Order: sequence, then C-alpha cells, then structure tokens
Amino acid sequence: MSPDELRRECVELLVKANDGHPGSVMSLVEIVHEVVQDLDLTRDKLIISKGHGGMVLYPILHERGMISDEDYANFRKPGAPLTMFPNRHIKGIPVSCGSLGNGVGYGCGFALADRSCRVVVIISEGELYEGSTWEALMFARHYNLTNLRVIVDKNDAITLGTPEECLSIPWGILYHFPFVDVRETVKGAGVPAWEGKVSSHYWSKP
Amino acid sequence: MQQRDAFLTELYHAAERDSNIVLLNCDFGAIALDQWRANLPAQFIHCGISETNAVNVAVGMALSGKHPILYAMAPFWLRAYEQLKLAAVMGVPLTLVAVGAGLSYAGSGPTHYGLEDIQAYRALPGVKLYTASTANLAAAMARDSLTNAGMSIYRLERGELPELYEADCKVEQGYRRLGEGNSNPYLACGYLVHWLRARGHPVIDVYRLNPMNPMLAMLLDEYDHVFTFEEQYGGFGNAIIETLAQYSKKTRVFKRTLPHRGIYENGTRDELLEALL
Repeated sequence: MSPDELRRECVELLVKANDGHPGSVMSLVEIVHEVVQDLDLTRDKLIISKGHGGMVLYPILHERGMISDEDYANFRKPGAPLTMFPNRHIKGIPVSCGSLGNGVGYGCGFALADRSCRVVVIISEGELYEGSTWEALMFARHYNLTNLRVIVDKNDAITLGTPEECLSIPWGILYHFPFVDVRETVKGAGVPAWEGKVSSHYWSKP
Repeated sequence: MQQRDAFLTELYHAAERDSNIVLLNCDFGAIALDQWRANLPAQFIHCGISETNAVNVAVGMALSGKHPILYAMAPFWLRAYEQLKLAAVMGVPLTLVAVGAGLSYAGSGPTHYGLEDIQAYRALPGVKLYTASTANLAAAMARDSLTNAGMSIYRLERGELPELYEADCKVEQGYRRLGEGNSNPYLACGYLVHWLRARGHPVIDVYRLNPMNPMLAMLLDEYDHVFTFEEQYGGFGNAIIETLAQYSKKTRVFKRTLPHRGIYENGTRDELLEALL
C-alpha cells in the first residue's frame, strides 16, 4: 500500500463514518507509512499517542490480515470492534490512546519490559504541552531505552491556532533527546477541503 | 514493624522467585526497599518524582506481561488519577501502594493528607481498594495482591501500630469485628480502628472498601443504628451507606467525617482527630 492509497483508504473510512478528526489523520499518513515498513506489528509496538488520528493504522492492519474484512467494513458501527480512537482490544494496537500526553510513558513501559522489542511512539506537537510527556522523555533517557523511538508529528496547528510561541523553548530542549525525531507535516494533507486548516481537527465532509 | 515494610517484604520474597515482579518507586523510601534495591536491581525502577509517568510506565510493563507494583506517598497518587482511570478502563493489572493514608502526615497540612481518595478510588471501574490497620493485615494484603487480575490499591498507615491480626490472616472477608459485646458498632479503617478502640468503642475494621462485602450489611442489619468514623470527607461512610441501602431495611448510619475544608491546624494526629472529628 502506497502513502496515497493509505490516505485514500482513510478518507473512505472517515466519510463512511461521517465523523472523525481528519486533519490529524492526514498529517500522520507519511510518518506511519514509513514507520510500519520496518515493524512486525504482531510483536513490535506502534503507539499513536494522538489517539484521535490513530485510525490511520486500520488500513495497514487490514492489509496485513490483523483486521478481518468484516470488522474493517464495519468501522465505527454499533456492536463492531473498530472504534475511532483505537483501543487495546484490537489486534496490533498495544494500548488505548485518546487522552493526550500518555503515549510516551506507555512506550517507556513496553521498551523497558522487553528491550528486544522495538517501540515507536508518535505524538502530536500539542502533546509537548503536557508535563507527562516530558516526565516520560526524561525517564527514557535515564533508562537509556535504545529500543524506543519517538516521532513528533509537527503540523504547526493546534485547535486555537499555531503553537510556535509557547513551544519555542521545548523545540530547543528536544536536542537532548536523540531518540526523538521531529517531522514537519501538514494538517489535513492531501485533501483540499482539509489541507492546512486548523478547522480540519474536527469533522467536515471533504 | 511498619505496614509498608510488612507489605514490601512479602512482595520482595515473591519477587525473588518471579523476575516479572517489578517495583516502580516515586522517590520514596522504606527499610524493606533497601534489600530490594541491593539484591534485585533489575526489578527496581526509580521513576523519580513523577507519579503520572510511573503509572503509564507500569501500564506498558503490565501489558508486556510484567507484574508492576507502584509505590509512593498516598496523597500524591491523586495527581495520577487520570492515568489510573485509563489503566482501570483498559483492565490493566496494577498494584498500587499508597503509604500515609488519611492524616498520617499530621502537621504537614492538606497537601500531605489524602482525605478524598477512598471516594475517588471507589469511582474507578473494577478496582479493589484496601486500607490496612496493622502490619499483619498489610502482609496478608500483599500476598493477596499477587493473585489479582485487575487493579488493586492498598492504603497503608505510616508508623507502627498495635497488632490486631494473626500472622497468617486472610483478607477475603473484607471486614472484621474486633472485640466482644453486642452494642452498636463503630465502623472505621486504618488508624481510626486503633483510635476508636482506645476509647472503648466496639469496632468493625472495614479494610476492603471496594467491592464491599454484602455480608457486612447483613451483620449491620441487626442494629437500629451504627457509627462510621473516617479521616476522609465522606467517602468511607458513603461506602457503608451505599451497601446498607442495598441490603438493609432499617439500620441508620451516623456518619462522622472531617470538616469539608483544608486542614491547616498544627498538632499530632490524635490532637487533630480530637479537635476535628
């Protein structure tokens, strides 16, 4: 599946559900597509801490046979298992996310429990406001968790505008955490109605 | 022996046999922890003063097959309440040890008191909640914790208190009537069990606060009224009232709580209780 195909699958799922956080899903597409190439999702842990964009993984899990055709077709339908915010009862989802600022801490736990397991946590730049994110980054450094990688989806948009002013200090500090990788992305990328728009955090038909 | 040392010693011996048992410490000491740090360093995780992260790390470890034990001062776990909620709704097996229940840190002021935690923890789905009144009871709770499949929270008292339980006691019952007599009982947990006994009251030690044992209501149904005493703002008495409302027809509850405000008064624990309860 190419990034474009992944993007198309996600748009179709969102349109079918008529709900979701499209801007956050679209900005994740390239990052997730690249990261999963090296991961065995039946064993390694990919944690999308920004849970509102986590459904970007469903097409990949479906392609790899970890989500059945029936469950995939029934995304977000009553009684069906696939939720908008992925939860840990879905194969390939290591831990439920949705409340921001918790994913790196979970990732530390997985990485420390089994140092042979590769753990990737994708966070939004908005999660750099959360103190718990920094507690976890310091913990990861203290325990030298070389099997942990953190990727920041920096789409330059939070609900009330651009975060640049408040986050100018953290961007400098992140140099001390070599396992953190900051990726410049575009909110709502690839869909004209959503691309570059803060409003695409919330649902609107493309 | 202090309750925390009794509790941790039991777990230490279990950890010697099972390398999956790991202790996550938020920069808080105990005599029993010294041997753990020295002899089982790979199973001792120093989280620093970061309760929220400690809970999240424990969740990741538990979901990897480890058996994490979270250890810190009681009042400060409430900082991680949301993380505990997330762990509870995910059904993650965690053992949380909260040392210094209620007014244990008397004189330190309201930042160091956990006076709302019984109510708060009882609101979490599927959580077992205990308060120990003695070291033997704390040790029994530690043994029991090894078999728990969900989240279990243990509120322990600070300092040494008189022993009321046998060394091989069990915790399945959830409460115990202490002493003889048939007069209207006083229900309490932790330190207040001793405080009330010292004043000559017949006490029922309600050491498991969630889930409550319905048998307790059957026992209390024999009385037209009972008393509840708590170092809380109401959570303990509410648990009793809730249980009685489901199973008892007539028993009235006289509930005594701390005043609903921050406790800034100076004094020892007993002096605070005399003045405020």
